[in-house]
Amino acid sequence: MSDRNGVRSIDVGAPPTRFARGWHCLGLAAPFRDSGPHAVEAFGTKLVVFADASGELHVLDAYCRHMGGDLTRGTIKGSSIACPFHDWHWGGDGKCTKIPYARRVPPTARTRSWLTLEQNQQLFVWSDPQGNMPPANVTIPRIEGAYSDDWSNWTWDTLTVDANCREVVDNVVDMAHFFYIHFAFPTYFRNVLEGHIAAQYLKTRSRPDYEPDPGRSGGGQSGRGQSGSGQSGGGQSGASTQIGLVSEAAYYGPSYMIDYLNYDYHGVPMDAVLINCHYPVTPERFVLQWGVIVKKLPGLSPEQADKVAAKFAKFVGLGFQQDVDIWTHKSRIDNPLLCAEDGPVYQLRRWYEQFYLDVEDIPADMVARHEFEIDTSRAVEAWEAEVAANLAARQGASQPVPSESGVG
Amino acid sequence: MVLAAKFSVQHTSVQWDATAVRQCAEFARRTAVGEQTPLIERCGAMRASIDAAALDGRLPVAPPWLG
Repeated sequence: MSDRNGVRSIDVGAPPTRFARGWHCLGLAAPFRDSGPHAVEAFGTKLVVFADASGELHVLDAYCRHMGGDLTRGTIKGSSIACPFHDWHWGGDGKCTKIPYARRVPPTARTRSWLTLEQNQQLFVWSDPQGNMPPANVTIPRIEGAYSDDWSNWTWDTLTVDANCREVVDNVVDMAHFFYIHFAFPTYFRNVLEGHIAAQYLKTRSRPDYEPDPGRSGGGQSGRGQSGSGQSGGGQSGASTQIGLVSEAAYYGPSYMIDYLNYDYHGVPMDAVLINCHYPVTPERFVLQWGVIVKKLPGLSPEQADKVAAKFAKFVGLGFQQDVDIWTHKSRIDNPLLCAEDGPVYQLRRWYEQFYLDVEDIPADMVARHEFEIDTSRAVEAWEAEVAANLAARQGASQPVPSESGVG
Repeated sequence: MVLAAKFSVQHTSVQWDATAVRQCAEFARRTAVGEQTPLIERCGAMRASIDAAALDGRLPVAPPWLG
């Protein structure tokens, strides 16, 4: 990797041609029930999503096995989707249920049906190149707030990104960028990687001297499992509107992260849940999605609660936009050069690799428990003392004191 | 078996194998009431023993490239 002058090259590698095994969220379930059918481009192909007569959602390959017609441009008839080309009817299990102009349906008339799951008001499909059913312990956990009147409704946003989806997963171990993109001090950062779950425990504090610049986002980076919206909302220079944030996040499988957040909203503690999820379109393109619910503050109407959630989601989105700017201009790198204060990137990629191997080929160490922790609180205290001194000097001195801290 | 490393006072990383996870009493107590080990933030006893080993010098506190 290094040449004879000690210069290290980037090993660009190549994205896998197969797609990750696991549950993938296609979006909120309710919109898929509206009229329909609906098209989703994912997993290197096109899918058709439709609701049957009882309202249950089904997902099939979109291209009809008869003559290749696009079922997403067809019509739901009863509990089947009818192809616009020759009106072949396909049921939710993939079997052809009717060919109106034929006496009988050929016995091999069966297309691919994708296993679905509805959880947390969202629709999931199971992707597995080996075609196996999901193991019992590999599922999407229930988020109680998604079913509770004490919480707002989901916001939901999507963004198509021209990069390999590993870029977003790398963020679960990325502690350092909090300093550089979101003007926040991570005071505590921990990862636990085990089995199909990758968890991140995070605490941050805002910078006391940071004034939000509308041209630069202080918003969330939920790709890393934390939103900084609390920090940017503070921003009163010098005043102690220190906004603390506690985040507990985990990927359940390769693509769906649930992030439980507690943060300070203008002096009031707020509870929120942020979903950060994605599905692959091709090996070089994925759709990133994020959704937010917030627990209603006492006295807030449902509409007001939804507004709070929308505001939070907007800050999260600003953070993701910054991430996308990085991802779409960076090189893929399979041999990152790390320092002692970086997170466990190689261990995270080893954990992520399990979803691209046949189940029988997963080595034990790939799914063994790995813990990584950095307690940065002492470094942050020292930095804040320096910033406080800078602020005092600015206010007291007739000449501005140059700051080396790169404020703003 | 558990492998532990501390690159600095602030840093700790721990690699468990499946046997160690099974043998941990705290994990056993918590999984018996329905928790899953990936979502258990830490084992208190393991953390205490790592901290003790770092304090009395049995566990070196240094980044790996400094040996």
